[in-house]
Order: sequence, then structure tokens, then C-alpha cells
Amino acid sequence: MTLQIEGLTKRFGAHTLFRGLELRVESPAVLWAPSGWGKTTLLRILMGLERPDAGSVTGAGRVAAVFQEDRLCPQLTAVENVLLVLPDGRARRGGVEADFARLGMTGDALTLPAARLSGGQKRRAALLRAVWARADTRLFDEPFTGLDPAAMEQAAALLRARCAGAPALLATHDRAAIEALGWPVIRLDGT
Amino acid sequence: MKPSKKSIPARLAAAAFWLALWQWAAMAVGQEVFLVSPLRALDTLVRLLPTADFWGRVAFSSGRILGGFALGCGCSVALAAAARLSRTVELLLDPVMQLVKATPVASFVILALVWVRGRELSILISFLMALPVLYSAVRTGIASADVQLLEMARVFRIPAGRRLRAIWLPAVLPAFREGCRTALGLCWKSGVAAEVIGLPDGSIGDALYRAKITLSTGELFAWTFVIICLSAAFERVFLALLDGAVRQVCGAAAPEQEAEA
Repeated sequence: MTLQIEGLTKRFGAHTLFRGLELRVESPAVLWAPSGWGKTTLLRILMGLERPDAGSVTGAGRVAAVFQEDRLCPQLTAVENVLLVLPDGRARRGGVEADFARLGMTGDALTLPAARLSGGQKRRAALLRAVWARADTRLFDEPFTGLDPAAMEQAAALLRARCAGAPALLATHDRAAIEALGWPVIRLDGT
Repeated sequence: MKPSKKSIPARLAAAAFWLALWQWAAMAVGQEVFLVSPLRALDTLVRLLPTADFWGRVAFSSGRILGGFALGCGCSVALAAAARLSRTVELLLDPVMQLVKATPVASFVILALVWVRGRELSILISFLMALPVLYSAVRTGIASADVQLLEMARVFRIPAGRRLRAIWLPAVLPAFREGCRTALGLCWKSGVAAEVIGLPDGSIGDALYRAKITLSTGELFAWTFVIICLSAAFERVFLALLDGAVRQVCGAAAPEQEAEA
């Protein structure tokens, strides 16, 4: 599947965020742009949460995402938050727990409701939810926020392994994360 | 909030003070028709308790009042959900709910007597009292649902049943619980008031009315005490059941804790 963005334009009042954007994404890539360029808005359009003023998006299919915020159900555990988006959640519990262990989350961190987890633990849960969800396109908006360098390396390794071969866009400013991922970088600042 | 162990003696002392004052006032008035003493009221209650008539009346009134409350619960949830889905339904329902909330119980009772038999009156009145309170509570709960979580559910295409359990119920249940607490008390007050006006045979309201016309002030006080106890008991049982449901759905994270996190 190929994610195709053609002539995409988005304005907020008199301010134009981006105009006539053209992108073709077949495999995972990092989306790099200066602050205020409109990366989050672009990702929200790709998620179907906002409408562009002009242009079209095709081939996104089913989308899984890490939002700027964690957006976890606070009463559910980290594992339950991941299973919530899976049609066959119960059967996948073991695999999900193993991935949490790979990201350094075990024991109490898996039994506490998300409301009581630390920022980094919540981010890992949001990340695994997007990785495990059945999706044609994966979108990540600053997914490593709140993770220490070691945790970021682990998360980047997991993304490299799980997102290969399908369209994925990861918006970040973090140069260390870009290096850890090793994905091609799409620069949206005109350079 | 549960009273602490330390406060129990203080509360008992406060109750004892008011009972003593009541006893003193009854003795000062000196006429049971005007003010019966607490001992006399208790004596009357003890005489009523073993009779089949007493339990028959309790069952009759409780069944109808709680039936009206249950109907109110069901309708308010359905109507609030419909109002969330359709702006037209919301606009149509808002003035109706305002009207029902503002209309005096007595007006409803007299009007309702034209439409329904006296025996069913307390069901209708309890229903009408519970409906706007619970409708408003469910609407508040729906409005408090996390928009970001709803967006997340939309993006991940989470099925409706799971959205209900994971996002809607945790938002609605705490507000619904508070609504139920208010509505249950209202249902008992208005339901018995309706029975006093409609006088269905075998009801608590009928017993209250008979006590009034026979100047049996002891019975009047005893039945009033029974109504208060029934209202409090049903409120506790219902809220305990609802709390169980809230815990089941919301897990260990209480809404306040979530707000803090």
C-alpha cells in the first residue's frame, strides 16, 4: 500500500500552514519540519480528524497513531489499553506483555491503571498501541517525548523491527531519535 | 464520606440532644394530637412492625416508587443518548425537561389522576420526578467524556461496545450516580405525596392520610420515620450496587484520581 498526498493545502484563517504538499510514502520515514510548520495538523489530516482546504490523501487505509498526547484510557492498565484496539485482544496478551518487557515495563507497571503510570510508561503504552494495532498506515507524532535515551533506543529498535515494509510517518525534532531509527528523512522546510 | 469512629459518639450525642428536646417539647405541649413524644412514636412503630398490613403497604409503595425510578433511569439514559446524537432531539427535549422540573408535584398529581388510576399514580409521579434529574446527570456525564479519547477511538476504529465500556461509561457513571442519589430521595417524597392525594388502598400514603383524619399523630410520626428509613435504605443499597458497577468499569482509578493524574 502507498500513502499518496497530492496538492494538500491547509489554512487557519489568513495563515497558510502548507500549500500544495506532495508526498508519496511506501515505507517508514521521518517527517522533519521546523516548529509551527504544521506537522501535527498534517498528521491529523492523515488520521481523518481534520479536513484539508485543498488536495487529497489516498491509500492511508486503516490508521494507527501515537498522538502528541498519550490518550490512554486512565482506568485501564497499559496492556489493556493496547488490547482495546485489537480485535483479538485476549489472544495477543502474551505478546503485548513481552513487548512491554522489551521496553522495560514489567511487574506493577503492567497492573496499575494508566492514570498512575509515569509519563515515560504512558508513552511506551501509547507507542505499543500504535505498533500492535491492525493498520495500513502508522503515524507517530513526537513518539519519544518523555523517554530517557536508553528507553528511546529500545523504542526506536522496536519501531524499526515492527514498522518495516508499510507506510509510516514519524514526526520528530529529536536528532538522536532520527539517528536511532535510521529511516529516510522527509524534510518539509523546503531544503 | 463515612463518619470516622471518633465522630460516631459526637453524632450519637447530637441525635440524643434533639430527641431529648423533642421529648421535652412534647411534654411541654402536653397534647399528643399536636406533638407526640418520641417514645410514643416509637411505641406506635413497634406495634405496626409485626402486622401484615404494615409490610403490605411498604411493599406496595416501594414497588411503585422504585418502579417509577427504574423507568426514569431507563428513559433518561435513552433520551440523553438520543440528545447527544441529534441536535433536533436535544432542542425538542430541553424545554420538556425544564417544564417537568419546574412543575409542582401537586399539579402533576392532580393532572395525572385524570389519566391514570390512583394505584399507578406513584409510578408516574416518581418517573416524572426522576426523569429530568437523571437526564441532566447523564447529559453532564456525556459532556464530560474525554474528546481526545473519542478521537483516538475514531482513529483506531474501536467498536461501539468497547467505546461504551472504555470511554463513555467511565465518564457517565459518576455523574449518573450523583443524579440517582438526588432522584431517589425525590421519588420517595413525591411518590408518597402522590399517594396521599390519590389514596390508593394499601399504600403508605393512604396510611398517612388515615392517621391524619383520625388524629393519630403517633402513627403519622411512625409512618414518616418508616418513609425516611426506606428512602435511606434503598439509596444505600442502590448506590452500593452502582458503586460496584463503577468499580467494575472504571477499575481502581477513581474519577478524582484520574483528574489529578
